[in-house]
Amino acid sequence: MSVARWLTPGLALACVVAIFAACLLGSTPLPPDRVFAAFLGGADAGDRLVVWTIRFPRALAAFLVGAALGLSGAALQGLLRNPLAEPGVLGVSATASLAATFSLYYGLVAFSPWILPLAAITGALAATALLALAAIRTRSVVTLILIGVGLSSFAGALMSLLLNIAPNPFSLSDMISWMLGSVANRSFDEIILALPFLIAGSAILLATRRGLSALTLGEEAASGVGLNLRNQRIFTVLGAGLATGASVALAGAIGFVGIVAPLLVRPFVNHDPARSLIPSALLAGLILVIADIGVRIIPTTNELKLGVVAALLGAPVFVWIAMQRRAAYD
Amino acid sequence: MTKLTATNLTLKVKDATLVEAASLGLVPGEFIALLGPNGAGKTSLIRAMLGLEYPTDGHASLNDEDTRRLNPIERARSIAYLPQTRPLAWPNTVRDVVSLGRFSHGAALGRLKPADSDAVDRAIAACDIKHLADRNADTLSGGELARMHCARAFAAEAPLLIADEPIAALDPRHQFRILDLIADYVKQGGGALVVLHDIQLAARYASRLIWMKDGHIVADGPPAETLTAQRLQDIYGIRATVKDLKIEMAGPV
Amino acid sequence: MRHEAVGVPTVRPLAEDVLILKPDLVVRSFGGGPNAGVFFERAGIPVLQVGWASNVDSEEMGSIPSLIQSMADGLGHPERGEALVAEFRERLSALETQQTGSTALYMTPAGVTTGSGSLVHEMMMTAGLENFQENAGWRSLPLERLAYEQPDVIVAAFFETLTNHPNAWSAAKHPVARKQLDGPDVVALQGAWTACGGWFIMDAIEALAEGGIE
Repeated sequence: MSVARWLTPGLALACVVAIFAACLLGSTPLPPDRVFAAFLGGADAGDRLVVWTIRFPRALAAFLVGAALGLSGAALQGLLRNPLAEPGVLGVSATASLAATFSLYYGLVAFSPWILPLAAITGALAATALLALAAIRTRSVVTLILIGVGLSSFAGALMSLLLNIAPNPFSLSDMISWMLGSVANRSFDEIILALPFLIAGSAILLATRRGLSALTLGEEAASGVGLNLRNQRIFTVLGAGLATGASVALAGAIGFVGIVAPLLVRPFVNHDPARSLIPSALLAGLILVIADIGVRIIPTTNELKLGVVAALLGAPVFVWIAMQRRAAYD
Repeated sequence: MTKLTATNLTLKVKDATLVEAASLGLVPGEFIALLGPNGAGKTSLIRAMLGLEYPTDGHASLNDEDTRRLNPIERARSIAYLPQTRPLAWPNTVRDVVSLGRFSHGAALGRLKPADSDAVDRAIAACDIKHLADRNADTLSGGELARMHCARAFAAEAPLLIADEPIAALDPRHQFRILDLIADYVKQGGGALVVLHDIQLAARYASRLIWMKDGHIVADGPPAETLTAQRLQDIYGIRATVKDLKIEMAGPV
Repeated sequence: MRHEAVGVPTVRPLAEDVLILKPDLVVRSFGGGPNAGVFFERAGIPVLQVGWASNVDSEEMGSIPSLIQSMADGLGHPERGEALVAEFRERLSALETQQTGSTALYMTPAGVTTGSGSLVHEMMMTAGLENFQENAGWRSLPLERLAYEQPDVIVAAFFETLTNHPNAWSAAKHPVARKQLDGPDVVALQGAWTACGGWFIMDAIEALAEGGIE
């Protein structure tokens, strides 16, 4: 399929363009030549600061978070054989947020800044492990989604409770950012804390993606063609947990983008989950970079949360998929 | 020579005994039909033999290695398995599904090595689905799906094949076609163990019949020896006459 | 003064809890919920409403002296109010400010700053400083602008306590903002000084005036 061959390089190029565009736009538009100069080392110190420490890290953070969620979403969909699976919907992001806020408000991050991403990842892994276990016991799609919804609600409720009793005082806007997601004011400091885990999680998911193809035959036949089911589950869960946890540490809980990207990508890769991973990551990253540009440009009094835009786009898609499900999927 | 053996296999789940003291061997060159009423334990026996289920007693071995301890890849290279339910989670293309038969050889969809690609082509040709190769599987009819899954099993080019009710719910023409494919496979040196409900077809194609009832293997031998009216009555509870391997069924006992 | 308040019994600011205690006087700003004022009136409990200060000392409504006086009157000690106002005005006129046009930027751990239209702005004006922030109202720190130009003085409030919680997305955590705090001219204010228009805002103004001179 000639389209498929151009898909990945095309998306990669689009991401580069979008990130560059994010550096052009802002409260003061910077013309392209000055942005180029700032990237290449010339230009005045002010331009370099704006591009390198303010705009570029923020756009990069949006891209990395989107890519992590797109990758995890595509992988979880392959593992669970379900187009509705995604870290946000399944409660993984909410649990990661809960763990992250716990570590913040109980002062655990005072020991080391690494505690924050590690806490988020622990939360994410706990949720993904729970979901993988549930998936073994129940064949029903609906049950799994419901468990995810329950997990999300529970995590959200615990987070509210936490914020009211924690020793460190809280600010409501902080909680909203954790639950709705934002990359405002993100600098390389935060990116560096999340990056090792993003890389580790992505590497695991990419290295084990072949098995996701086999799962289309169902677990029995997949086992029959040589797939080690237990290992596939463990590695996919581990990779998705690491990538999602790291992205939550960076930007809070952003949902739905992990559903939209694989959905759009799959028709171009013959619906093969393994081949949908990289394009889904790129597309989801692209979506979030563009969404963040929108968030910065739309003239609302308070900056819209990134997760709000993601949900505005993604939730209707979620409902649409749910209504479209062909009998073959069940 | 590849050999799959079950020795005294017993499988108990909670209070139910699914399989009791079953022993059998499968080698290339044989076409074995596994017969028995619903609930006789045929699928459980197969799964225990493959190592997908752990037996409560006895053991199953592939070339003297316990199937429980087998790496899924090793098992897949020796035995191609067609389970009873054949879902497809995604609307994959026919070619991709057949290519999954090469999974144990390291094949990744869309990036097949020449050796794998050739095996896939051979299997597709053998099962006569070349004209369907680029179609999405969710647009196929029952017969076409069955041939596709067969092609997947053959693409593995494994010495042994185990198929659980591969022709259930197919019309007679397609039933013959699938069984012809398996017969060709056996003729070319493969060994097949097929679970069937159609006793007539089993008698016609298989070199050996294994009869199961209530978890036990009741008889094991060529059709000429094991196919009798008494057997049909004992196993299936039906009245029939058998003459020269042709069965005429009269009704339930 | 907060040291003197230690040990005074407290209740949650719920109208019902307050009513049960049958106080002689309720001094409130907005605590107790939206209908608290109505409840207290119906129960016959006198309420002294704390006003809103919007400027330091001018003829307009909301000046701090007028606020002090009205509170003192309401509490039945007008002469103490007058004394406080006199002291306040004395300190005000004793302020040595240099109108050199030094720019100042107000920073909090939450990453917000204010332009014109707030008491904090008025406070800075009174101390002889010009506000670096040009847009009115409370907003996020102007990080991109700080990349190009910096204020002469940083007015850093609430950094000594955790009550103004540094949330994870605060603009004050960004390297560009943090760099400002390492600069030579940072005047640290106690958060309580700038809160809600008490006469202790004079402490802040004096600190600022001093800082503005250096």
